[in-house]
Amino acid sequence: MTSVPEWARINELFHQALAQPAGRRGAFVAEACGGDRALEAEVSSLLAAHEQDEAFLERPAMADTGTPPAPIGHLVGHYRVVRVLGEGGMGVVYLADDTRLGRQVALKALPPRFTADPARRARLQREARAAAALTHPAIATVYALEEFDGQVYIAGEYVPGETLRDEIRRGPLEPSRVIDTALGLARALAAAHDRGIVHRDLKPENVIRTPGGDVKILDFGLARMRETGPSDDAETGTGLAIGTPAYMSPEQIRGDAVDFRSDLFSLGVVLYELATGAHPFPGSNAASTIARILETEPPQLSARVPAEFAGAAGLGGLEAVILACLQKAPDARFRSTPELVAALARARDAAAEAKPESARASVRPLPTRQALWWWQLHQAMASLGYAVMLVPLWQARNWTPGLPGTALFLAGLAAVLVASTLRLNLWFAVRELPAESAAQRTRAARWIRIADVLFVVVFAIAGAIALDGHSGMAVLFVTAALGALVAFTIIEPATARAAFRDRRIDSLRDRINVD
Amino acid sequence: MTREPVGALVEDVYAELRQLADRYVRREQAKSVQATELVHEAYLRLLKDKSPRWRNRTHFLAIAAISMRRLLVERARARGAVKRGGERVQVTLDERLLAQAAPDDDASIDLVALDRALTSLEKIDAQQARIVELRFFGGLSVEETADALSISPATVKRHWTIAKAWLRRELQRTTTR
Repeated sequence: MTSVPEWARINELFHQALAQPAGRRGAFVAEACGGDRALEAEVSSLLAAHEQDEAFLERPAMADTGTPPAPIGHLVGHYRVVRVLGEGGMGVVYLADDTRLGRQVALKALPPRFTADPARRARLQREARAAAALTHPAIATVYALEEFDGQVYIAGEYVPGETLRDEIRRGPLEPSRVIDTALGLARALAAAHDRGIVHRDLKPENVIRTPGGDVKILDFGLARMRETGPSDDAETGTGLAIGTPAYMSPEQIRGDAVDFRSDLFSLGVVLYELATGAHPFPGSNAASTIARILETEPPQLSARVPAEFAGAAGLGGLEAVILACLQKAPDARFRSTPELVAALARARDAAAEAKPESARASVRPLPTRQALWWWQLHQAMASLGYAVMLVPLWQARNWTPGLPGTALFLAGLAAVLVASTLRLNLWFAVRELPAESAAQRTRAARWIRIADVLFVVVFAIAGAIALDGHSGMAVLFVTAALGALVAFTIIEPATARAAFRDRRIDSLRDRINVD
Repeated sequence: MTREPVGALVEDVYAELRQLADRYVRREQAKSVQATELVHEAYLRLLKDKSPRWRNRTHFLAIAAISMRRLLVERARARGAVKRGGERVQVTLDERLLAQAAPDDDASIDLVALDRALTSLEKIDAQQARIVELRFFGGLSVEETADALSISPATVKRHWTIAKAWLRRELQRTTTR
């Protein structure tokens, strides 16, 4: 075992040797040790171990393979990481505070494979530069390309809101809203295409609907300059790896040269999904999706939109645009992105004219904030009301002595606990974690419903029991049961619809009038 | 940095980590949640402690690194026991999570052997061993490690380089493959 004073000497020699060129180290150590064989063996074996594997221990013990450690709460350069926003093929994205400029940014940690060799690094630099030059209200701005501790990051605009994926999950949009969304996206693409930047990875996950109702495209970090030819494609070998197969154009899947028309195809897929809620080339796995994109025509759009939208104004125009985008041959799509914008604008105008004035007025929903407030109030009041009703139920327990009374109380308690806890949880989630709340609402809905039904049944039975000598209480119980029935079958669905489905119509309407 | 007074803190952090790991797996998020996120969530939760018993963030991270070392090495030991075909140790849920964090292929590091080697290194150069603990088990950057030990980043890098070489050599000596 090495003794301590020796260790200081070994350290010194080791670092001195490391400062030498690799080929000279052995000779240097032999000379420096001056015949001390033990010391020489010690230092050179350490040098050998060092040269053998420089990556040893460099990845922290808790880091998952492939992704760098999540530096939550840590300072990365001058960015303080707040939380993980998402994770994709391009790496992990964090929400971070830029401590210098005092703003929030989306910080994307690029996987090492994107930054491994100088050529790729140079390309990344070029792409980041191109993306940073893009300033458009519907494109998330790239602020900086940073490198800290050997890890490359892209800092970009943080856009709060839901992705189009969340929106699609809730069901198809009204055709006029799809047209509006399409216009926002098409204008943004036109701005990028004008500068020769192709997105290459447009998909619902990459589009955020801001709280104001506008759309913003993320991830132009992957966009590549148009000039890079097919040979460049071969070099990265990324034809399939980079994009998501479900939104790739046929030429992209084949690995051919890709230009702005590939984005038009991807946009067509996204719009089709927004309008129908279903993918135009459904496949149970990547391979079958790819086969369909290459070979089959999408099912007729107008036949797949929900019945309520079947005759909607603008559907015809929208269908024509989407069909043109989804052409297999790039030449058969729009000749330019501004041409697509113009076609969408015509479809929108036609829809606006076809819609009678009275119909427009009648669909005015409650303003978002107010609707959300009502929904929150309903959740809070329902929870409170349920809890209060436990008191008379506790008294009623003694009217049917023995097991039935207690069982009834316990059933009521269970119903109240489940319904109230889930409601309060949702109430909290909607306030604090709006992005995740949609999924939570879907999950919780069934259990809340079951608990509500149980509540009604328990109180109906309690009312029936109370009829025998406690008529006042009987009225209370039956009223509670009926009240709960009305609340969860009519009032709650209505407030939820108003609060979560029709949120953006107002702002869209404003834009229609402005344009 | 002396070891004695941090004992109770390490216990707390360790308990917190275990608890979080269990909870995550129970919520069936094991697939999507990164083990590192879990650790950092533990950090964040403990940082919010109303009456912090640590001097500052780096002091806390340094303590967490000790806890992480213990947690990971214990997991690795338990997994090793199962693999050797002894009495089937009940594999708790968080084992699954951690197994995924450190795949048991040839390229991965034998944490138990590393722990033993690190204990040997402590006797030769306590500071270098500490640096490895912070960097590898705690996931701290060079700068954070420098901050935690009140030395310069350049010194951390020098010590880190030779400590890694020493440990690597030590592991090769002890490995019987």
